[in-house]
Amino acid sequence: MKHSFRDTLITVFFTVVMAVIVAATLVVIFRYSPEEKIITLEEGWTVQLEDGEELRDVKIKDLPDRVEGDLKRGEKLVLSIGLPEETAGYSTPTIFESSHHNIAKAYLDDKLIFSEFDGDIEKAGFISRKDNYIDLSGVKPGDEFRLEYVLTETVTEPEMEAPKFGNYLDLQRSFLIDNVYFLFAGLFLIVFGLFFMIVSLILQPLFPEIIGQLTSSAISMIFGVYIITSTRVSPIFFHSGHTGDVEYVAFYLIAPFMYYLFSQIHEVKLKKLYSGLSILTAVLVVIFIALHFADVVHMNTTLPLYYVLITVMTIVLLVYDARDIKERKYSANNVIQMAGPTLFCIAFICCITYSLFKLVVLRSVVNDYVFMTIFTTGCLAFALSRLMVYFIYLSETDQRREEFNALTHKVYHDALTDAFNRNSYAEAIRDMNEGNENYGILSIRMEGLSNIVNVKGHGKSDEWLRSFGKAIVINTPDNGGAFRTDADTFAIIVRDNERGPLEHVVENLNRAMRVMDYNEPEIPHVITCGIAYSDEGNRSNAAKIAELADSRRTRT
Amino acid sequence: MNKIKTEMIPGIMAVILIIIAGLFFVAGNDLNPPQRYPIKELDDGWAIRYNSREIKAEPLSKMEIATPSVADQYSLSLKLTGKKIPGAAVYFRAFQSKVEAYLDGVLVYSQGSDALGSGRMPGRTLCFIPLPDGYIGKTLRIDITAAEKGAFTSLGPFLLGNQQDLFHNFLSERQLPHLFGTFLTLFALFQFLVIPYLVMKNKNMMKQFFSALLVLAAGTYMLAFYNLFNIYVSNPEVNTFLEFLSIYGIPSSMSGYLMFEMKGRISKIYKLFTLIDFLLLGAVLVLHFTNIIHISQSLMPMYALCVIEVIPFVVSVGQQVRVKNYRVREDPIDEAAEMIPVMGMMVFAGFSFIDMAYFLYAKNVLRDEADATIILAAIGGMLLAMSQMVSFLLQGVSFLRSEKSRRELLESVHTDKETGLSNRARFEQEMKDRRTSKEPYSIVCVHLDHKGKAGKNTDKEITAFADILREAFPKKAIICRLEEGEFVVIVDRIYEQELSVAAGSLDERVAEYNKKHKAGLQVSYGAAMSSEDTARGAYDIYLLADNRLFGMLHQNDRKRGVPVEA
Repeated sequence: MKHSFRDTLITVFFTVVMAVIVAATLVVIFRYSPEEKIITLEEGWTVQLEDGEELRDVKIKDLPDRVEGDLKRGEKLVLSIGLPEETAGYSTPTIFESSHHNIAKAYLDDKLIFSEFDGDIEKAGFISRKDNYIDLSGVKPGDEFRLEYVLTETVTEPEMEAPKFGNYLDLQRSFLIDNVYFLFAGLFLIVFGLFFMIVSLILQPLFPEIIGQLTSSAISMIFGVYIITSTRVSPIFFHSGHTGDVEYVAFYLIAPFMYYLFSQIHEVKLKKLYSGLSILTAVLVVIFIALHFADVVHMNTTLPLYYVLITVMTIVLLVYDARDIKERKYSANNVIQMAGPTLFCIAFICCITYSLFKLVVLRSVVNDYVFMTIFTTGCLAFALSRLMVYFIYLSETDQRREEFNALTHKVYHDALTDAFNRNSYAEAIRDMNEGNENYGILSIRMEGLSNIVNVKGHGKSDEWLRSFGKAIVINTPDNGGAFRTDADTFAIIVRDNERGPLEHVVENLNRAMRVMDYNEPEIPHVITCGIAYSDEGNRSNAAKIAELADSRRTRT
Repeated sequence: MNKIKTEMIPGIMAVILIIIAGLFFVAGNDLNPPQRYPIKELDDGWAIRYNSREIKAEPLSKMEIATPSVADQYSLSLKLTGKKIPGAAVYFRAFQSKVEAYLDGVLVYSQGSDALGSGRMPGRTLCFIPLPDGYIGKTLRIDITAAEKGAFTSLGPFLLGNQQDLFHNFLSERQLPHLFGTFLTLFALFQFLVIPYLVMKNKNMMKQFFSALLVLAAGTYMLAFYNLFNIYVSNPEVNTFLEFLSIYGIPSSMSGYLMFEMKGRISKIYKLFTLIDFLLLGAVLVLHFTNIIHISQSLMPMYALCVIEVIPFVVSVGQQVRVKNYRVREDPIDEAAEMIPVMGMMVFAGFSFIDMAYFLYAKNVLRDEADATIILAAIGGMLLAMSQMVSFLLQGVSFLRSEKSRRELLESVHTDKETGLSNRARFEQEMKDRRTSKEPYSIVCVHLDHKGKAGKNTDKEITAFADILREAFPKKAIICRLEEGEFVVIVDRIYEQELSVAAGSLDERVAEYNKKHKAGLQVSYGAAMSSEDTARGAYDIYLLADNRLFGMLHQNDRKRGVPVEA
């Protein structure tokens, strides 16, 4: 079905309206303002480094610039601040701290109020980003708050956000609201992938072709797991000391799974290329993961290598995509299927570009939402494209059925006259032979057709065939069928041997011939007809009965 | 790697992934966050006053209370004892009430005072009453004032613990509704974005809009019933409003879906139901926002409608045995793809109905609404989503399979069995397709005869001639056999000179064949190009070529001495 430009415009308009309604509804509903003010403790920190050097009046965002050289695993970083006057009067005073690759202890006026583990980094395992809510019950303005970090990884710069002060519930709910996009998108992707995977595994024995669905289901789940673990919203669902491991493993699995998906979508030539790349990346990723768990090199260290890997993947995909679309090698189905991975890859390139810009130009390693927002949007586009594929199948069901019916019609009918074709005739003869019913056969021949072809050309002869075919089909009794048995011969078979109806058909055809003679006097419309019934010979040999009808053909 | 092994890879990958994920979870020992301090339910020892009148104290979980009217107040007092918990709080859910908490007469917490007397519908609130450091030995008094008639039928449960622990406990108790409610809501919102496109392609896809609406209602209901919107939204009324709105959404969207899914009279009945449902919803919303009757107080008409609306569907399913009310599906996969979401929908509706009925029973008879769950509706919601996914997958399978058989069918329909060339059906299709095409093309009509006999050619000769045509004309040419010795060649974008070369090649090859096989094939042809008369259709170009063919045919006949009729 083809659509006009106007239709497309209307569709785009309604899609935009729908998107605006959905977005506006979500923005209106998800509004949260803390009951008491949340104070960001950005400035006025005193930082003590491992070598005893003390940095005064430090802003958290400037910390990477103030600290020179690498910070090694096992080194200590101590940050302290006098709590400002405005921290007075809170019912559940709490500090929210969020940092990377360390274990922390917190002191209030030298009294230990919070500790992660016992300070032994060997027991801590791999720690990525972690968030802590430190209870400050009984705090007074002016009290000194001290955070002691022991680094669990060697890093070039300390990665932490400015701690926030407020009531516990306000801090916790603000965090969830700030991350609600990631939380909901992550949960959606996990369940979406999981459900499709379960359904695919159940249906797979019946329909082997849906096995390919498993790869995209797995990718959806990997995306979801990565999003909720890297944004640290996962603790509200499950608590695990291995969240950092899960986050990095999920991230590292994206490349091999994605290559494998490309190999499933593409046919023949690119299939081999992508399968090869899938195996290669899988081997590399397994090595990275093995090194990580053997504590030789952690996955955060091998991240630049992985970025290179995934960037190459993206470039390969985009180059081949552009080439294939240009050469129109894709089927419409392929285009939709590739749209998801392509959108994700574009989003990922944007993420990497932004990270480089942030690192080189802004000189900042502070967590922000830009990277994850682009990444998550790319992941959702991936899932949405999967849904789109199915919706398109769904919407084309009726159209497909109509086309099928038309094709089936063509299989059994003669294209010129619309009577049943020769194959159908052979089938009908077979049916008559095998059945117990009586039948009658009317054999008709268009006399002089070849002469008309020779003199008037195929145009005129086709015209006559069409009109005659129509006359035969119209006059065929309800219990019978009209067949074109050869270039100039037709037959009508009725499932009854009652005399009369076929003779009536002959009369009607003669009448039709006279009308044709009147309309086209230059063409001699002549037919010969013969009738035979099953009771005139062997009923199980319809071909013989047909021959009998042929032999009886006389001009009427 | 053979085919079977290749097909197994995704399955193996999926299993490995599930095992890896499982190992991580197992390695975490406990999926729930570790509880730093014990959480204690405060069930015993309360002194209770109802509208300043003291009533007999019992454990709260066993206590039956009078249904409150607006402004009726329950006042509960308890002396806090035991071991001190840092960052302590008391948590409970308040149902459409104003809550004030005092510690030794000092106000420490207040919630919902603006809803009382404003006329607005009060919400269901999560109350975390913070307790200062020295709370042990002090008396906690909680005043709960009903802001709506019949606001609650039970008190508590009240939990004492560390505030972080209490919050995590609240969330971990709701892990599954949170996960699945979020999924269903987003699943529906995603569908809404695609629906305008679907409806443009196929008007019948409006049923997908109602299906998405139902999924949205299921997801929202799940999140709202378990007070999860209260986490993300400041205003507690939003949670309660969404809860009741989603209940109204369920029958309305189902009627809408069935209106498009069913055929004939039943479809008309559901059209009427959909109209009534949406009019009722509109009326309920007007009454709600004008604070005349709140949506939480007007569920009964909806329940009644629900029961009535199910009847035609049940009757039609009963009739299925004798009469098929669904559109006839020739493909069983298509039929399953269409039936499964309807079944999922029915299961969800049935389960939700049981849960709602139980909720009413718990509230009005057992008088313990706090313990009511919607676990069946949650399972039904999941089955609904899964049934849609099964349907999507089946549609995909059906599409891909029919695409394959369509290609095969198309090939068989458009192929002349004897020669393997295209047939008349293909020719007719090409003529039709070229009606609107602006691409230049040429048509060559070819007539094969037999010298001397002017009769029929043998099958062998026809097949050989088909090969000659294939060799003589460019590969892109579409060669159709219309009748016995009648052929048409359609070539896109071809120059006149190329056509002459092809014709010359045809003559040469026929002559070569005649010489080699001592045969008497006689070929005549005529060509016409679309550029010769662009205003005319493809069929006219064909007739022009046919006309030229006959010029040549008559010339050949004259050469052979065959009389040509005028």
